[in-house]
Amino acid sequence: MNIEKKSTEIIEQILHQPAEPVANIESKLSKVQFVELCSYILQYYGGRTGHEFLLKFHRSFIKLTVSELREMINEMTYKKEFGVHTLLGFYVQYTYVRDDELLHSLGVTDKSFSTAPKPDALTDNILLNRTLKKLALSDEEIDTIRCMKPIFEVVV
Amino acid sequence: MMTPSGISGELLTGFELFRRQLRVADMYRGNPQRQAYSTACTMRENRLWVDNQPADFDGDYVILINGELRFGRGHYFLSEMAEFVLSAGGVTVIDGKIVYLDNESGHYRPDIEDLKDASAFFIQNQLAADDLMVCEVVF
Repeated sequence: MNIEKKSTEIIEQILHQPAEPVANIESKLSKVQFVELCSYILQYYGGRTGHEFLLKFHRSFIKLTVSELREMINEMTYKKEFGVHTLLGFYVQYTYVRDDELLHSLGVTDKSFSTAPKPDALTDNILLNRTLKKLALSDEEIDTIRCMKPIFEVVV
Repeated sequence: MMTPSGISGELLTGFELFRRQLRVADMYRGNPQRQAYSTACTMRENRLWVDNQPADFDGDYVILINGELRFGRGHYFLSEMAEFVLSAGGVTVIDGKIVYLDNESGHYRPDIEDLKDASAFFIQNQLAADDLMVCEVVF
């Protein structure tokens, strides 16, 4: 897969046809390919665009283990800090994830979720709500995203 | 890639409200940000306009050192990789008025005081709605 080309295609669709379903694209991506895409988009685009990608592709994103998230970050050789910043911003603005163990597991030592607003404080945020609506996410999908939890693998 | 454009600083006032310039984080300097667009806005009658309609969009904004106000996606793209800007963050514009403002910029990292300066600036220029929502984004 040509990551740059695929990323451009996906981002163009999200920006110009945000309500368009992505299931057809998502179903053809292996987990490895999805991790590569995440890594590329979060560091090369980042910010709000990165968040919209994760929202739209939430079905694949919520299945990533912490180990796979670490792999995704390790693949960020262009703008790693920017990619990580985007990822953490996504958690804070769109999910209830506030577990500092996740930060530590991802190698983030200079931040804490304790400084982030409580998740329910974001439900009145105009921009976030318009983003969710624009992306045509259902109430059920929004709840799924909000309630996602990091998947820490258990070492037996 | 298109060159971003914006509203001339000559049409705006209150630049002294910004107590400092924002510098791009060292680790990002010189590394282009991929982006798709800037939003071509004009300003008249104290409103923002796009394609001769009162503007309605969500996105990013920067205010360059020369006072130019730009909207679109990607602060470092919008600033054309400027080392310094006066302001950066996120906005929601409805019916030509800014109804929401935040300080989210991974490249320029405005703090809460910068956000307050930006809020005062947009209010002074009568671009802010009466019920402007101002939101500090931690990260």
